[in-house]
Amino acid sequence: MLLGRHIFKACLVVGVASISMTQVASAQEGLLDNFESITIRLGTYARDDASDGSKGNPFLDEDLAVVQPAIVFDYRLADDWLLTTDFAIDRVSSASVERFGSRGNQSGASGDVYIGLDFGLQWQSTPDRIWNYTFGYSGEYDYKSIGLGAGVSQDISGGQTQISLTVSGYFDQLDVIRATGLDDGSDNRSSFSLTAKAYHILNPQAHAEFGLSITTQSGFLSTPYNSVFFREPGAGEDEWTDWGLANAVAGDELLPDSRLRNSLFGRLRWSLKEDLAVELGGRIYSDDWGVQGLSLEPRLYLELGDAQVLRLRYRWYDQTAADYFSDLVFSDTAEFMTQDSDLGDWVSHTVGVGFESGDWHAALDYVTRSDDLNHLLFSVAKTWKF
Amino acid sequence: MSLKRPFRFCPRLGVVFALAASMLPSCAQVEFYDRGALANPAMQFESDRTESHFQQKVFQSIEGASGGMGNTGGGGCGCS
Repeated sequence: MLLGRHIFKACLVVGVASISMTQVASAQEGLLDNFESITIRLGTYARDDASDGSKGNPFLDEDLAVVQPAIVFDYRLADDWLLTTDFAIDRVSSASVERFGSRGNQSGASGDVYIGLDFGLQWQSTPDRIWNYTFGYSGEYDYKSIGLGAGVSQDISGGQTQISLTVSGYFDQLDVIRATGLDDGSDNRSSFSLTAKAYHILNPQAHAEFGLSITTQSGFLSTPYNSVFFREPGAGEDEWTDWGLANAVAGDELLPDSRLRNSLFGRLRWSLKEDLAVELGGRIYSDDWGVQGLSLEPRLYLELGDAQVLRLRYRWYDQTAADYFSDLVFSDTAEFMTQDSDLGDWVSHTVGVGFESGDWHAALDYVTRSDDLNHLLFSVAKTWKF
Repeated sequence: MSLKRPFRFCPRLGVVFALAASMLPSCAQVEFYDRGALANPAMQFESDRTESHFQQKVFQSIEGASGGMGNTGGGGCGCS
């Protein structure tokens, strides 16, 4: 019901924006001369926890709804320079995370605004080489993040193969606001990624891309407002059951201060007929927290008419839990502890449909997880190309 | 806090990477005039980059894994 309202609002906002942009474009010819494209998108997603919060982590109410309007444009600065900009605002509404017993509501999380602004510069130094430089800023009530990146892509063998290499760094500053509302000062987190990717035309009907991404993170990697429950010191062992909270005390999530993550990913799309294509994509992920993830994603693309494409997809994703995750009460001697469901052991299935008609795009996806935390995603976008 | 465990490389990563790499030399040159099918709308990888950007950002925030097609390997958000 909640998401239904968001979807209605999304369509309404994009529709009104579409009419306004069309009028501006017609009235101000010349103003938009250097724009390559402008896209307005409205995305929304919701996570459904049970009314008693029993899905996912039964200690927490993990209901969540996010509405994200965004404007994206490509602006031609010169023949060989292109500016890309992505400006997004997330409006987050989550259930107040009432903790077990007398814990107070999660500070700030019942209503929150995320702002993200990403700039990209593309420079085509030669006909077959493009350099990319990115700068981004994002922030919420409890963190600020600056991102920097650079990359190069090179066409080889007459455009049949393209290889690219990208490095990026994120520098986050967090206000450590705990679940109780206690402000524990501020801390930092940095992330550096190296991504190598290759695109290749396999034959006249098929092309593929695949790559490798390695990320190292350091600093404060816990989620400040996540709580865990652990055994009250001195409690007898025989008093414990799987969800035994009788003698549990709540504390802060504790996670290591470094993490090395890597993933291999790829997809191959094959044209079966002029109006029908299939794709198989996938990713293998591993990190030194013990999380391993495997996803497979078959897709089907069907051209229904002139510039109309229907996309159907299924995604299977399986992940193992982080070594520090438990859905039971922790020992009071545990060095690291998390009960964040997203770091747990579960399988998800996603089914989705997307439709593209001219400059309009819409997509609807439903994710079911084995821990019953299901998600619904919807986005609609309109693009003007100049 | 310090990390105690050594990094474990997943053997499946190596297998998939070897398979992917082995595809390259087996492919013959495809001339420009033979690439018509790849230009069809249904064959475009980046027909709507904003949609895939939105979706991958969501999946990154709700899964333990990150990185992948058109996505960063991590960072830039308040989540772990």
